[in-house]
Amino acid sequence: MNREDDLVKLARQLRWQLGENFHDKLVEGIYADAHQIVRDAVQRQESGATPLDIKIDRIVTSKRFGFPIMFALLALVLWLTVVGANYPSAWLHELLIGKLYPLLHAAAGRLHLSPGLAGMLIDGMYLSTAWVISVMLPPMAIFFPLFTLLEDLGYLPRVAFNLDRVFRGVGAHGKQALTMTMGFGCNAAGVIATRIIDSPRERLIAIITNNFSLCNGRWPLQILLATIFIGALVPAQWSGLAAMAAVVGIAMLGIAFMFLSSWLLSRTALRGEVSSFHLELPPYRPPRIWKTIYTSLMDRTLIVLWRAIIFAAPAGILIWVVSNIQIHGVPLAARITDALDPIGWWMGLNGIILLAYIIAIPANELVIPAILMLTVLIHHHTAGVTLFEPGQTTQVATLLRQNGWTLLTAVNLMLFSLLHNPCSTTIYTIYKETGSVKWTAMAVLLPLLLGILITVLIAFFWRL
Amino acid sequence: MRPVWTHIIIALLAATITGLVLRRRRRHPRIVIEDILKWLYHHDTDDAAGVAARIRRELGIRPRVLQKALQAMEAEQLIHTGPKGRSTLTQKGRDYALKIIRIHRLYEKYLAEKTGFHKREWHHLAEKMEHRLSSDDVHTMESVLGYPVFDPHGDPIPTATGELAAIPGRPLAELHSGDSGQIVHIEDEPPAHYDQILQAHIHIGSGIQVTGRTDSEIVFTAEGITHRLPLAVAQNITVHTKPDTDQPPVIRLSALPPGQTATIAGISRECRGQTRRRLLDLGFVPGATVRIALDNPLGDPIAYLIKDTVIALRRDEADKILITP
Amino acid sequence: MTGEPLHTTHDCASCPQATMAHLQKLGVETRGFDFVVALAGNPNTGKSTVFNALTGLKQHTGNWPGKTVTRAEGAFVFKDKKFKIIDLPGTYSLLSTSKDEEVARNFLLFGRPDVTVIVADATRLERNLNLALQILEITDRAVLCVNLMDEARRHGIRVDLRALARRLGVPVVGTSARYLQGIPELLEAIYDVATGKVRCKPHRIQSLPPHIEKAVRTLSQKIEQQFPGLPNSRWIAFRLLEGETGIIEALKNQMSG
Repeated sequence: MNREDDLVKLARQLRWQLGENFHDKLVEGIYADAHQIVRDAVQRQESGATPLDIKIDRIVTSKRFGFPIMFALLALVLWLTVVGANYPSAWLHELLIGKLYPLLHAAAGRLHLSPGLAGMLIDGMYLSTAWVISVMLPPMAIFFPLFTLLEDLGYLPRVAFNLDRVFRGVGAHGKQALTMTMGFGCNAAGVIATRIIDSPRERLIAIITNNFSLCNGRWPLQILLATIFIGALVPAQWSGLAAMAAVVGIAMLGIAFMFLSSWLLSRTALRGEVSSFHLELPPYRPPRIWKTIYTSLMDRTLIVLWRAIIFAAPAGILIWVVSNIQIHGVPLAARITDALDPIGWWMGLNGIILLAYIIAIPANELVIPAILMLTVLIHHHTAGVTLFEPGQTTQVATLLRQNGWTLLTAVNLMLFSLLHNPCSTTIYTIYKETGSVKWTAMAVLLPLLLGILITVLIAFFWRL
Repeated sequence: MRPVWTHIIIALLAATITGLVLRRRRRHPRIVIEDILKWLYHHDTDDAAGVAARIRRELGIRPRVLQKALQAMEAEQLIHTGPKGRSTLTQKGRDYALKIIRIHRLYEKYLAEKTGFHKREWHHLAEKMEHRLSSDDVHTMESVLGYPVFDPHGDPIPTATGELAAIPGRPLAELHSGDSGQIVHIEDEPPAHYDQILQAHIHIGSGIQVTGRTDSEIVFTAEGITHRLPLAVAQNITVHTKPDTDQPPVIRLSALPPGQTATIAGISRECRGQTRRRLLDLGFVPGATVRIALDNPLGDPIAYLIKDTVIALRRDEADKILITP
Repeated sequence: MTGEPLHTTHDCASCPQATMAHLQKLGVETRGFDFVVALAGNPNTGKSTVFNALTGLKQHTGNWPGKTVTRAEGAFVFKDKKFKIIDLPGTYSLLSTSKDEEVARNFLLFGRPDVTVIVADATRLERNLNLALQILEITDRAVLCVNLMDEARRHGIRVDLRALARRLGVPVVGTSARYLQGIPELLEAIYDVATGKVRCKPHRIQSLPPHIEKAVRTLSQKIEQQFPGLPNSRWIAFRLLEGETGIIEALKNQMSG
């Protein structure tokens, strides 16, 4: 008991004598030793020529080429993801929904499964899981390996270097450019990626604002609504372009909100957190392409996929159950959506959308299947499998219009899809990374409240 | 019709909010007493009538509250009221005042070393916390900080037993052309003056050389930069004058021209806490050589080559690393 | 009994013959090990590549400081011994306050690995020695793995491994882990230190100013008096002088537990 106290006392006394710069002197001493050892043990032949690293760096960080190269690479990655994903997506869709789905129904018939059980398993669980896989897996399997290749090459730190000035302006770190980009793939992955930011304040900012990156799970909804409602506003030959512009506009708006909230956070809630900047630019190393593709598939894509399945399957059951359980002849889902309708009205949305968002808390990609299934099951009492066919937007459009959807609904839903709480995986990841309920709550409530505020304001002024 | 009403509603709302924010909170009697003690400690004045008026004005205390506080202090034997109604601190009062000053300065040191608050905010935060921290808190804080002797502005921190180190030096405003020395203290009040010092990026610990002065201004160089300050502002900077400054002149790393190699002379006292430790870990130690490795397309940060590694630093950091070109 | 050959692994018929003799790569296995090895090093030195080369695991590594934040574990068998290996977060130092450094520091100090492999980048040895010298103050059973020797050769840098070993007082092995060069020698060195065949006499930090050296000595003597047999009293003294008084409490718990 007492011997430790003696030591602490002695240490205190010695510290008082040594003054404050003990740490400085210790590190200087270590480096002095290291310098001597290296002088004895390492020989250098200066070749005189500029190393290749430096030559490449001078180009990729130059005033003239730095930004064009960066945007060209980003565009290439996105283009490969969006265009490349179409083919495997269509193929998966054909396999899982075109071929397997009828087979499952046939099998259920042969096994004499009760219609309720068959409906729950096949129309509920299977259909939503199959939809999520065919829509989510291909872009993930393309985006993450490409991003990882750029990372392994050593190019990404240069992006952080080039863009740091922009991010410093809002109190953030240049590396946030990368965690934000990662967020376009998956917010949970983006939050984990913030580990590369070693300054506590800037890391928290990057974590809390990552949700403003429109993740892969939310793109399909944006594209669907933009195609149906925004594309219809202009002549047919321009509709594709208009829809595309609307989706990109939403993503850009997300970036704008990211900057705005970073700025606010760094000046208010986070201003007392420690901030210290440095950025190492490691030497370029040739990536080992196959190994990278393999590991990034393993590390990121499959984890994202697995999570989609374990959340999509139960959610599919849940959707089917709430739509089919009847209370006094009215489906449970209808009772809930009726109760939510007034709130939905204020936000320019409706009760079904809000219920879909509650069901889809586990995973954003469930919003579309939830909305479509709920609409169909509550109002039409058919399975409506054709709604999940790609290219069947006219049918979906008719269904939504029949149920009172307007341009306001579409615009506000697109905005609310951008501005709402992160999915439960991301929330859990944020909690694990920050270890703090306070910052997790902040990351959940900030976008949610912002989303409610903005949709209510838009609905209010729209109806004036 | 509607716009008028909207304006009125918005105006009322704004007024309410402003009122709530700006409402001067009534200070706890103990806090009033502690503030008065501190004031008396810092101002040794003979003018009895003037004192009360100045305290009222500078601390924003109403006459009735002041009178009550002074009575309480008299009863507690913190002050002694002399024949002409002049209040002086008793030994007990001095100890009490020193205790508050000690907490204030330790807390500023804590903010500087362990948090990311900007130095402009330190004083204000410490003003609040000096009334709240218990002696246990202070003891822990002191131990964590390693028993610092000076606060980040260069003011001595009283020890638990009330000992106070002396600051050697004279106000910058009193120096003349040709004088040189080192900045040992930068006063953070009044805020208007402090802001000017902050905007000039003058750092504590800098070696300075006075190159000229007029009736209203003083001109000096510090870390390779020439500053021009009004005398009233320069009064708030204390310089420890040293006649023999044979040390080679140092400049800031941020001023290193591309293509040149320089030797690190050290890290400024202005660089603290985790940032200081990180820079040391990265090899920014005296004697190391450094040069610019890469310029930035947007001008900041700049990448430096240090101990065979390319490390990018923002201008704020590079300002606090000193080199000999 | 005495005639029995020392074979602890039975299933070698099913496992492919490894290119490196005596090395049987295992997946993650945590029970029944003979030795625990810690893997430490600066960020971006190919530490995870060394880890993968030793264990045959395929942990993802990015060309980017700070990727491995959580502790990865693996295992391998060399000669007749089973080794458990732990990949610590890459750090520049062990003296600062970041989370990664705390994880690495606590593991080395309180996990007491049998061998600590310090992975260093041959092209920037001086910066890497900053961490290596700190680790040598904590543990006297270490191996320095000078990785990226191929890159160093390309840059015209020649590292005298024997001179390094002499100065540091621990075995030094040069590797190019990407191409599995030097891994057998590294395994041999780990084995020798773990089994006590090689005794280390690690370097102590020498260039401290006299008044600081004196304070460190006073304090470390006192620590040794009170915790006899402690291999790293100087390190504890450094931490105490840095103001980390909690270390005494932790030390006491460790001694009793």
